[in-house]
Amino acid sequence: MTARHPLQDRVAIVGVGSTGFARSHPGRSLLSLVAEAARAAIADAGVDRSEIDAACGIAPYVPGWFGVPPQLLAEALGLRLDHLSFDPPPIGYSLVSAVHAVAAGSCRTALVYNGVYRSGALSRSAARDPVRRQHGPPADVGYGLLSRVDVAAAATAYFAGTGTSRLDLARVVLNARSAAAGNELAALRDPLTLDEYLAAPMVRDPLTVLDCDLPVDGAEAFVVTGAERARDLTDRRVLVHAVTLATRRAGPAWPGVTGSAQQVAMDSLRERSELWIDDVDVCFPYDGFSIMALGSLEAMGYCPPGEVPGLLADSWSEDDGSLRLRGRVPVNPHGGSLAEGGSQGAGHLREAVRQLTGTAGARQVPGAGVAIVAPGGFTNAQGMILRRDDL
Amino acid sequence: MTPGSSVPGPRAPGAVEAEPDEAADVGELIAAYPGLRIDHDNERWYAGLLARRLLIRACTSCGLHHHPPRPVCPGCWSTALVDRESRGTGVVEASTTFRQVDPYGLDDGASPGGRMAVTVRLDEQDVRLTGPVRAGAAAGIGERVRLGWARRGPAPFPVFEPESR
Repeated sequence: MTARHPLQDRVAIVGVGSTGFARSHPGRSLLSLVAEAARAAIADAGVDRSEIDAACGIAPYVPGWFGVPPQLLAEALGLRLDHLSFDPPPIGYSLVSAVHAVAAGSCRTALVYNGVYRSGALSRSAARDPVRRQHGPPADVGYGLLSRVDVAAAATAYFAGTGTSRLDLARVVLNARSAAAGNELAALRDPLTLDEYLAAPMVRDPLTVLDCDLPVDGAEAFVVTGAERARDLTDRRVLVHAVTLATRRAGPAWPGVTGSAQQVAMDSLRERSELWIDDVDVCFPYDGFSIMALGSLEAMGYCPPGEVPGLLADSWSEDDGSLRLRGRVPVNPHGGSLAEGGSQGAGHLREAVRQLTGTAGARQVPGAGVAIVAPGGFTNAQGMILRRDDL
Repeated sequence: MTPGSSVPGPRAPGAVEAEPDEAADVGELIAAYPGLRIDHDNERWYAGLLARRLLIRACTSCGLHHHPPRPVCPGCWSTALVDRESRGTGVVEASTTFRQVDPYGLDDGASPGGRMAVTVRLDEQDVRLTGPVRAGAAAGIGERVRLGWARRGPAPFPVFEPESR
């Protein structure tokens, strides 16, 4: 245990539940999706609901968006809670809230969750649902729409400074699609060719519709408890080795790719962790936009600043259209936000847990023992090192 | 940890035992009940109101009734839910009077001194329901009430009235 991070390995993830994103659910509420994932996670953990005494969930990030407050979830599931939080996305905020509460003794076993629900503003099919038409970001300017300008601008600047091109973004997108083909929870399981990628409709230069995460309906849930309790519950448990939250230049300031909040998150994560990328078996850069995955890999230190194109070229396998860092480490093997569906990093966290518990099925990375998960983009980023308890 | 911990989606709480004749589409409901937050969990409730029927959600697995309607039974977590019509009679367990602003927007006349609202424990379902008392009427704690209907803009809205009236 390091003095810098007394939380190290003290809290475990012992259950996961997912609705998956393969189907849209036009007639269901977000609460019904979150409740489904929560029940599945609690069943997976093998605990009675009376043991769940905390709920930490992701709130809407723009006014009028969708979210399930923990009070509502508690009422719907008959839970009695004495710690709860309703946090901004991505998923790390709610995980950290739960980890801190468990480690501090404020709760015993926490439910962490995120539900996503297509709004009428981002999906034509969702716009046909009168319920969803009631919600969405303000029509004139919304935080989400504004950030899209910033992300596209950051990408053009990064391109100009580093020689990165759309062909590099393509490797992230094609990797996501080839990975999602093996993930029954994923929304986009059809293969994608480079020509199809290059022909995709441009949204804001240089980002096409395929460079943006996919709006989906669904929910993820996790059961988090103390490491000692976890050892009583299951042989397959994942320890939170280190975790961090970070921000830099949030607000209207222009965020670059290099040196962004992603770098702040990875720098502080590294300080708190005794494991780093040499130890990592499976890698989860955030890909809410494809360009964010480039920044995420750079921030982890897989290559020097600005040298992502070389990293991607060295890691690219033409045979199966996938990335393997250092010839070994798969990148978002569930398909990430770009292909599985946009879940604000919750899908990344769930796949990391699945990989580390040996329950990833055909996608299983043999012997996976350590994962790095890096939800979030240039102004709002997070990091997690997760490890199998028996290693 | 077990693989495949994602569960199949629950059946939409649909199968309304007391099927409203007018199975209103959710867009109609949103238009009929402006200002109320209608979603896919409570749309059956509002479809019931539009048909002047009070529908209380019930679990066919454990028998528990609950309100407001949720997508899963808070007692046993079953999603085998139905919406059953209630006669709407019961006993007042709590009450208040809106002295400054009447939030209901009903067109059932004047309430000198303010609109009363009551929390009623329904006779048939072990559920509490809070709603307005008919304009000009009053119902105290312990008093029996029955269901009546007023109009709220374009649509019917339930009101409680004393059984003794």
